[in-house]
Amino acid sequence: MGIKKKIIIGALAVSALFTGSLAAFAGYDSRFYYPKSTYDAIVKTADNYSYLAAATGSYNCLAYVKGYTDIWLWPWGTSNPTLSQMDLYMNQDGYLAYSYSQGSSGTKIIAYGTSTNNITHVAKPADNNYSNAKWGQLERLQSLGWDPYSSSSYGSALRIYK
Amino acid sequence: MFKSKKVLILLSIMFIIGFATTSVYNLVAQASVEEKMTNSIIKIQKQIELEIQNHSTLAASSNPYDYVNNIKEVENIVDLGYRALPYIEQNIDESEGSGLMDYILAIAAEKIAKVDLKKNSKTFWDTGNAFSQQWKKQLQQTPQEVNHIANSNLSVDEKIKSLETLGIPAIPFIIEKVKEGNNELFPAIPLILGEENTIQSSQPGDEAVWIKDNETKFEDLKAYVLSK
Repeated sequence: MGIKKKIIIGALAVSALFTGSLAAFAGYDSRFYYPKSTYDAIVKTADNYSYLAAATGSYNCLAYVKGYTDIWLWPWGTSNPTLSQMDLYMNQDGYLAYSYSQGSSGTKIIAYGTSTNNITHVAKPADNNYSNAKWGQLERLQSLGWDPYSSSSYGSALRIYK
Repeated sequence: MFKSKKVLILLSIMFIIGFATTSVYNLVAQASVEEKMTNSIIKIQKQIELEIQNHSTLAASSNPYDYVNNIKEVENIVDLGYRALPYIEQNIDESEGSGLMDYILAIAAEKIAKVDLKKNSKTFWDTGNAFSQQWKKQLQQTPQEVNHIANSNLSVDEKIKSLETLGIPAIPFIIEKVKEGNNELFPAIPLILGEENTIQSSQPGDEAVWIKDNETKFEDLKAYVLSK
């Protein structure tokens, strides 16, 4: 078999594997509290979320990445923090801020925003390929990739903290 | 002698009836505020669920102020006024953990009391439980803070601005200071209450009239602050 053919077959196999894994990612099931449309609106790719724990108002994304599941933690005022404010907050806890890069070793927390003036969400890496987060009042969920959210919801991954 | 005994008995009976009626009225009034609070909390929880179903952006939000801005029932708690404050504190203290509802109640308490504890690093809070702790400290210190401001070398305007930051819990103690002769502090009262247009003190003696007419309304607030 020529080398070109091998490369094409290899590329097709990898694509099939990736598409298959995404399709097989658990997605919506009977444990979710709200309609499927609520969750699909938050991610770039429909069903890119897998149930980890129940929806609850007991804790939010910031509490979760800091290790708590019984407090709603919000150190700011009425507006979402800017990236600088988030960096300052994380620095106070001993974290160092870096530009976003998926799979970057030592990453503890990933921050997301629709712009650097509007940080909306934080998650933590499950490993180099998956991230876990508490979605506001919604469930705690796992997504494929560290940057799974749509621009109309949490926005892009902007920062990692180590 | 028999007649005066009759009169004495009649007066005693009337006193007991009056006392009992007032006590029952107070109990009913207090129960009414507590009942309204409980009903509002249930409605807030239901409204959160409804809002989430209608607006997924709210569902995904970790910012508690987003929920307060979208849940109308929170304003009903604020409208209960300072009499709701003890019940808010109790609800936060007695709840398991310190979740979103605790935080929403803390925001409501700050709106009622017209304070912003986060502005000062000494009274900063980031969860409902943390608010409750700071709130208790704030209330404990309010009477002596009013005293300290009144006796300080600050200008009158600076004193009034400083008193304003103490919010509604300071009012009974500002009243005390005015009654002691510190009339220049009176403008802090309408400023805190947001009633600069309705509470006038353009004529000498206006403050005394207002205090005479309104002082007793703040007795339960004073008792609440002093209970800390």
